[in-house]
Amino acid sequence: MSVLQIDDLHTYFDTESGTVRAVEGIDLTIEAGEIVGLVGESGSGKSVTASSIMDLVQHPGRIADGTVRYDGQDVLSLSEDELAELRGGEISMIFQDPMDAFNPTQTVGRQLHDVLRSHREGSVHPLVRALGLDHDADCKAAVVEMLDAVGIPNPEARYSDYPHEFSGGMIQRAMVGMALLCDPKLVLADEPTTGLDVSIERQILGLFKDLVEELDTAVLWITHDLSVVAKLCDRVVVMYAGKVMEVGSTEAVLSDPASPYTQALLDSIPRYDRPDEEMYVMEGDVPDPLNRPDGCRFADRCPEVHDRCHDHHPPRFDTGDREVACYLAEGDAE
Amino acid sequence: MSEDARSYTNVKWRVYRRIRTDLIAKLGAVIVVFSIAMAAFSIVDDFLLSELVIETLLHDPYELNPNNRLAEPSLAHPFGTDEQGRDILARVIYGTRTSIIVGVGSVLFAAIIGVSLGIVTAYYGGLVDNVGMRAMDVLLAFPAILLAIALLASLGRGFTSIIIALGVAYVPSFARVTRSKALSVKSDEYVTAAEVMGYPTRDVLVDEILPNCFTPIIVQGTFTLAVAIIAEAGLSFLGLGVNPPTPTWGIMLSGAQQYITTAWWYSLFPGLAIMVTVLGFNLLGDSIRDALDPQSGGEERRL
Amino acid sequence: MSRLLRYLLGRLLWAIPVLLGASVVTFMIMQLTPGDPARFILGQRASQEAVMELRRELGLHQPIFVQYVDFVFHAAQGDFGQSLQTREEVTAMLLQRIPYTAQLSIAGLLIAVVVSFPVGVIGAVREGEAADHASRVGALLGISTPNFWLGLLLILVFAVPLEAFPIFGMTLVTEDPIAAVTSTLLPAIALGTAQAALLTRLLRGGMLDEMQEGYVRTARAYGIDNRETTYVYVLKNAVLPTITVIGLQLGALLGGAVIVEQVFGIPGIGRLAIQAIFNKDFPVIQGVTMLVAVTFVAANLLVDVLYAQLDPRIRLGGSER
Repeated sequence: MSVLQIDDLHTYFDTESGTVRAVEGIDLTIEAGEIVGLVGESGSGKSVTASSIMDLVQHPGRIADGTVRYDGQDVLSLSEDELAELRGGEISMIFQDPMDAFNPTQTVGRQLHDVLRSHREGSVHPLVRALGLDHDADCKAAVVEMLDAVGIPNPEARYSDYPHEFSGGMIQRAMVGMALLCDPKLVLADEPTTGLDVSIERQILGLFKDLVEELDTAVLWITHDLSVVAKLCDRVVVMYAGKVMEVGSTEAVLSDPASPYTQALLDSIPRYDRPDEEMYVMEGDVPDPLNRPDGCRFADRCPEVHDRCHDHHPPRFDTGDREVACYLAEGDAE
Repeated sequence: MSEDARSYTNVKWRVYRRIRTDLIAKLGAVIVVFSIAMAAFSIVDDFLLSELVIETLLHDPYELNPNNRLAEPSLAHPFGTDEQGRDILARVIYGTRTSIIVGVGSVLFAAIIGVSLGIVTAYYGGLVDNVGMRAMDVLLAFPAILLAIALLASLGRGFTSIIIALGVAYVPSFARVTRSKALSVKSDEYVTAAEVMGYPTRDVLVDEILPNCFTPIIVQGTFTLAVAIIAEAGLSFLGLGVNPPTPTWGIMLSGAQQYITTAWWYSLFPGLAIMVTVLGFNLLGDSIRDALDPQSGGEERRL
Repeated sequence: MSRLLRYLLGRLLWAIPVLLGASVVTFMIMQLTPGDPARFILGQRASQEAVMELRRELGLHQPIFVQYVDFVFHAAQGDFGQSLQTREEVTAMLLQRIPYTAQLSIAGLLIAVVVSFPVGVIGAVREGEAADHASRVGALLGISTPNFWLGLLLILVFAVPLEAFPIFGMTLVTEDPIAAVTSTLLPAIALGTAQAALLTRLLRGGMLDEMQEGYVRTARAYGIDNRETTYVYVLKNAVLPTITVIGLQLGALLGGAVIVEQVFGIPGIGRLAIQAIFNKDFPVIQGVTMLVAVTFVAANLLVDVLYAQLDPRIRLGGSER
């Protein structure tokens, strides 16, 4: 059984100017111990997909259609209490801006402690915890151990530091620590290295690879950066304007993209090995989310567009090593 | 350079749209317009027509009637009469002008000084800023109403005194609001451009920086008006406001206090007039703030 | 820790020029009065000798700078001279009346806090629902109602029909605790309502802002109990800035007390000040003005200290995000 199986997920936002269809029919599966990259430009629906997996989408957003199965369980039909157990316990999320994700007036250690404590048996009343009356020595020891494991030097002392006393790289490590604290089976990492400099990014990626290998955790790694995907992920899902454009093994997709959109994404990466080549800039804009074309979402910007691309968004064609939502792949479909 | 003009029209349009669409904003605008109309009416009727209109419609607000003291509300006197037999409704209507004149006057006084100070301190910074802001801190060391009372102790009673006294008390809030906005405007491109092009400092301050500070100033002004109306009524209630027999809501309430056990209407209606008027300005202030800048309002109000 | 100390020292250094400035303003009250204050005080019919006598007593024959230094020198020792009306020491008069104003203001603040917290929190938690609308309308009415009129209404509705509440005067808690409560309740409500309304608006807005913060999303994503997040972390972070406002509100409370004392006939410093103004009793006016300024500045220093203690970002330094 897959750790995560998403079928035909639709997540909409009802705004004053109309309904924004952020996610429109996403299918996605993740197996245990697998790192899957979810790639796309900003506004493609990556983060909304991640929020939908834990049923975290809030008003005015709503999951309009589709199912999310975690370990065979229908997540979207769970009660608030059951969801609370799942969130942070079984599935955890790493946020893009970790400094923003921590409470500025609580120590980092305390915040990790509270997460662990709320997922352990015999949880105490929230008020007791709030008053700081439930300092659990076991939990604290576990948190310190985790801070150490994610490579924060001097974890015992840093336990009682506040978020603003951490550097960008260190707070991201603490965030990773928080995500792995309850031995989750699935980690949703939303652009966790964006904004970090390259050397810290490399450290975090390495850290992640090691930890995942050790704990056999599945990871959905959301990014707009294909070079990170190439370094880290087993499989890659390419999203555009709320739709999946191409899914397959990282190697296959990146070395020989079948969708013109994936090709365009690859072409717009600056190539240091070929500095003379002019960098490719994708023409046009991401379609207005309020007013998306009926046909292929990418048709207006696609260099290989055909007439029928404007009529219907193409179905996904299985070409053996991948699935591609493009009429170009129709002939290769099995 | 059209930035300021554009943002100002934009401001007007956004406020206008808010008032058109939002029921609460509409209510506030209606109350405010109504009170200003009442104030204007009473000024014209009193000084040009010698109470002709109000006497025809209701009663002369100044006319004493010893035979009809503290009469309960009736058809003839919808709000009853006071201890001198004067019609309370007519006096409440005439009282609007004191509140509006003092309110608008003190806010204009405070705004002119405060805004100039805010822009100048923000623009020059350094010692000017330090001295100016310390001076504001000094004024802020007194509760606004107490500062006004202390100033009235030396200025004496009357319209001008009370406008100055309240005006001085409200200067710091305008100075602070303007300064913080001007500080962010100062570094904007078009201000730098104007400086580089050698515009005189006065022009940079007045033509470039000032129009871009309008938003918080307007919001602050509306809220301060509400506070000033309450303060004027309070000072009049204490006997420190304008001179009798000018009808004011505060003086009426001060008279009503003695008859609290016997004439409930005397305390009720003038106070209701204050509350409704102030509510109008507060509603309008809220709407303007929400329409212009949902993120930050004016400075905290001082009562 | 040294950072905290430096912060506190900075606040203290801020207070000194502010208080000096306040003393200038206070001193100027008499100077700004048009004409000869002595003649002003004694009236047109007083003899020239009497006027000269008073001028000497007030030190008006000296250069203005000397007068000011003299004023500050004495004021710093808590000496504001004698009342021109009763010949009593101003300081003694103030000391006698401070307890009444203190009792009224503290009770008013208490009411403001006790009312605004639950109402503000409910408004934020139930945003857009009936309870929220009710609390917002209530708060709007609260800030729009003049305290003295509210006082009159309370007298009309409660004190007139119910004998338990006196219409006039106030009993100190040291004299008779029960009578103190009944005699303080109505004036405190009159005084505290506007502050309660302001705090309610602030707290509601603050909580709604905090609920948009990243850590609330994190807590939800990590299965932390929603009530815990709302009532503990969000509330705490929303209350922090409110504390500084409570300091500022103390000024509004003291100012409001001046008027409310007049409505309920409470013999506090406000009533003293109003009488002094009618009697042109300048030393008393100056004493009251300076006392209020010192209290207000001291209260704000206290609040700063408290705030610094509670907010780790100030206590431990680091960049504001």
